[in-house]
Amino acid sequence: MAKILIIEDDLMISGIYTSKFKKEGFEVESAKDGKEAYGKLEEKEFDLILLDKALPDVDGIEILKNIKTNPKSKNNQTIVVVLTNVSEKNDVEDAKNLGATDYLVKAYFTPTEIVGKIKDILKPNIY
Amino acid sequence: MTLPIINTSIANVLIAISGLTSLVLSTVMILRSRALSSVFLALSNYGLALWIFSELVFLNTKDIFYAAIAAKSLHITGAFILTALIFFAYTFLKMDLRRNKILLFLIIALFVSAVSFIIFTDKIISTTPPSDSHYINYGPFYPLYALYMIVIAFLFFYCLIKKSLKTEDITEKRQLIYIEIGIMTPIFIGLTLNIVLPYFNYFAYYWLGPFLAVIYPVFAYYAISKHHLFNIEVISTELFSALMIIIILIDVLLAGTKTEFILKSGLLIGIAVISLLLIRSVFREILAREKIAKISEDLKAANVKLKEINEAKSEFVSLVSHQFRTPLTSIKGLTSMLMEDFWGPLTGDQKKSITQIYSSEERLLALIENLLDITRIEAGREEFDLRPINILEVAQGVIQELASQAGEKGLHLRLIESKELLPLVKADSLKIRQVIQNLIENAIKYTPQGGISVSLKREANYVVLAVADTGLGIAKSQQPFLFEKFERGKGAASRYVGGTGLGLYWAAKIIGAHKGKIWVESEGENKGSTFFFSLPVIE
Repeated sequence: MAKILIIEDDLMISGIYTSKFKKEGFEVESAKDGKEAYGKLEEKEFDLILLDKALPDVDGIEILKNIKTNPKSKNNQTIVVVLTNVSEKNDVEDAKNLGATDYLVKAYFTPTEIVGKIKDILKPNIY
Repeated sequence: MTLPIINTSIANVLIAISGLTSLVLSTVMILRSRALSSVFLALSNYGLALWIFSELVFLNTKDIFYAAIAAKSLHITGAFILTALIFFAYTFLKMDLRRNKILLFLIIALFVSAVSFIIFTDKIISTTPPSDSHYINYGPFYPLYALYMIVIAFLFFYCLIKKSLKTEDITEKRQLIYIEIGIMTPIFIGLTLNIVLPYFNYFAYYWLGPFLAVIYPVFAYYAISKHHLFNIEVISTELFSALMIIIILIDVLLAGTKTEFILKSGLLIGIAVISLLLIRSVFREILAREKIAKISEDLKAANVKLKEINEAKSEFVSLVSHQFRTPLTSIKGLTSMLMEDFWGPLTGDQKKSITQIYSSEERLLALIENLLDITRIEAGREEFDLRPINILEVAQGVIQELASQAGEKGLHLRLIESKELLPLVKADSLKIRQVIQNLIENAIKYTPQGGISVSLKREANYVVLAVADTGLGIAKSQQPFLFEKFERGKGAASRYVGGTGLGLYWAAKIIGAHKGKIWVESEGENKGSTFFFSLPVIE
């Protein structure tokens, strides 16, 4: 099953997504800040990363840049979906330019809708 | 011994005017500003006036003795002008007088000795008649005197230029540049034409000095006056008036007959009175203009401040709105999962309550999104996804979605099909959809019976959408304020429904940002109302 990493500082929100994704059969890990995220990203390869932009120690965009451009990264081929509540036009453009597959505003979607979107994104990779 | 003959050639009149201008300006300067630097500048101007009158005598006298006296006076006043300027520079530039005590003492000593040598000896200027009365018989120390003058002139400009290069205050820099150009030019020309060249027996342009010299007090006064334009206009008027009076005065003195003398004297008095009135009115007008300029400046500053406050407010609202999304995400996530029986099936009542929490959350989220839209538009940072869209399709979608909501209240909601084919408009489909939804939801809210019809038509270069209801209506007096921030039809809330009134303000902002218009028509209370918006057609 697909392995996903949820990088999200709000523990209630990451808890909701974790339980929802687990129920849908995903293998889920979570990181609450940049430091934890970098640790997990070094540890193993994921199929998809859900990345919050507003993190306490580092801008999510920096993590995205690192994932995509660091030659040593185990995850430079991993799909990254930015999932955040900050949605200024520049942010969306920056993220897409850096290789994010999608940019979703958390408050706009229910967990079920998000799982649906993630499944759609992963579909071509599964088959 | 014959008295000096002043002939009335134009050159002489102009020289006299130069001298008088200097006198007037110096006096005005001392009267208007009591600063030490102004006093020194005025002193140098008085010196200039004396120098000009000495020149007048020197150029016109046929008497060798008077010519020699005038020549001595020329060189004394010349030294005086430069010495006063040095003191002006030191006081104007607020240089430390004590630190330069020795230098200033030396300058005074040199001045006193130069003057003594000129008055009491023939070492610099000789009273022994030269071959021609218009030429000066220079003494053996004259080159030393010339050197002294040049050194002092350079010292003066060294101080000014050093300061003007160092200062970061633009007003001060500009003042200094005026002084540099305005004083440097005539002084260096004067030094060349009246000090250096004559020594080599070249007197051809000796008469030019006084004309050039008049540039200097005008520039100097212009430069030191704090409000440049303010004073220069008054000064120009004063100069012009003085010039007129002098010319007429000369005319009076040259009058041939008694009648002519009386007539011209009358004219002189008349001109003098008019000049005085003119100067006063210019002065008053400029005073008024200055006041207005100051008020306008204050207003500008206040406006900038207001804009800053408004921007800060927008920033704050934007930040807060983003923060609000976080807890709403949790509420939305958890309630939606409860609704989907994530943790097991719920009873009917439980499900109903959860659905109500969910729809409240959605309303709150929509309000926050509206607030974000408004602050973005107000800050000029709107993020529209502009594409050619068919408003009819958008409206159809909204009507389909809201049909059940209208049906629950027993209202009809229909789209009146237009016969003509509507052109496309360039708009953000999602935002326009939300505006239509907002208008229809409002109509449903404020219509107890009857229904709502939506229609579309083309009007000139616009597509106009109308949402007409058979509801409460809006009094004429209320209509103009409907799209202002947080306004609602008075009484509407107390009679029927709640709401913040943000919706129409938001809709107006969205439509306005699309270069369209939004308005309402209602015959009055209980006569229904029709909301319109127009969007420009793609050319």
